[in-house]
Amino acid sequence: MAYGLQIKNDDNEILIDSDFAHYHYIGKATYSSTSHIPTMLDGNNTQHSTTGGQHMSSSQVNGDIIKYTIATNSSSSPAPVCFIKPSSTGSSAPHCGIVVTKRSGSSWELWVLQTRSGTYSSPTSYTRPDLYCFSPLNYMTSSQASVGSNTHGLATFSSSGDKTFDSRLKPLKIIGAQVVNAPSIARTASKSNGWNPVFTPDQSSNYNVTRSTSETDASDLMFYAPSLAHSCQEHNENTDGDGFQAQGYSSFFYAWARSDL
Amino acid sequence: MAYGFESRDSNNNVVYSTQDSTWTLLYTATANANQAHTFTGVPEMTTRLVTKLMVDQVNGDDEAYVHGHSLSGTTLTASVPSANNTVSTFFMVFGK
Repeated sequence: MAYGLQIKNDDNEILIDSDFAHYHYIGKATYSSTSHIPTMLDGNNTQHSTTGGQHMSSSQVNGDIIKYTIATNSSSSPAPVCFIKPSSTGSSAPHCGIVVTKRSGSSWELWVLQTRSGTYSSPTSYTRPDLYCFSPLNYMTSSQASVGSNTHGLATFSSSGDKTFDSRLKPLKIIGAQVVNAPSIARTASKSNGWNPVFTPDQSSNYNVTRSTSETDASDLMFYAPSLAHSCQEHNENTDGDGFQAQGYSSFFYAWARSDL
Repeated sequence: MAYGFESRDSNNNVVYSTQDSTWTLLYTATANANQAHTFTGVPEMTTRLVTKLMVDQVNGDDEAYVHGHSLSGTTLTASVPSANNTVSTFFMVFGK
């Protein structure tokens, strides 16, 4: 850099650079609604029906899509970075990740997929996670960018005069990162249960993320986990016979479900 | 700390310190659905990571893919794994 401010840490890594628009806290995303997935659960392909009960098994484990919104100052703002603060931690904590991010005017809508213990027919209670969202300073609403009467701290500006860092506005500090790869298939056990397939994923990958030693309280940690792909599971059943229906009696039942984690 | 840098808020809590470590956002770009892109001018640092986010992902039960990518020097290349089912992808390049 020819001018400006650049601060490096004890390991000679860049901590603050006035050339780059650092992300700052813009608030918790606002919860709007929850819906069960998969959406086809208990659906029934009646047009091809031979006997009743052609739907996914009610014994499979399901999840919830939890929807949130967060405001920005512009309909052209980039997507905010929203970190998930799970409702609990440990091996029994639910898995969750962001599966949909879409614009709604100057706001963004975020869908979080969270696993639910129990089964579809006998679900257990759940607590939804919090989403802590971050954005560059120049896309904050006026209330998000307000520092009030606080005059303590450090601010940096780019060569064009845009503020790129302000310690009063809770700049994002990423203390660990890890590249993860999803399993190539969501379920290896049989899905077949006749007309009532089970799509409960049984594959997962575990990763340990090394975080900087300056952060020691695990209960304060949160993570950012955007989804990159759909995992689609398919199941076919068919039967042959004589009869007269719109499609004849060579019936075919097809079902599939998403499990993005 | 005996030396280095600390930024504190009005309550005297440390906001940033040279004992911290973080990833700096270097570059963002949005690749349009079903289109390959070549983005140039990506700043370089010793270590970089690319994150990808599906934007305006198709709702419901439709097939959809995020762009593939490669990062070399100052060029970020986004490829489409599916000509018709690749959604808009928001790229973020972090460095430290």
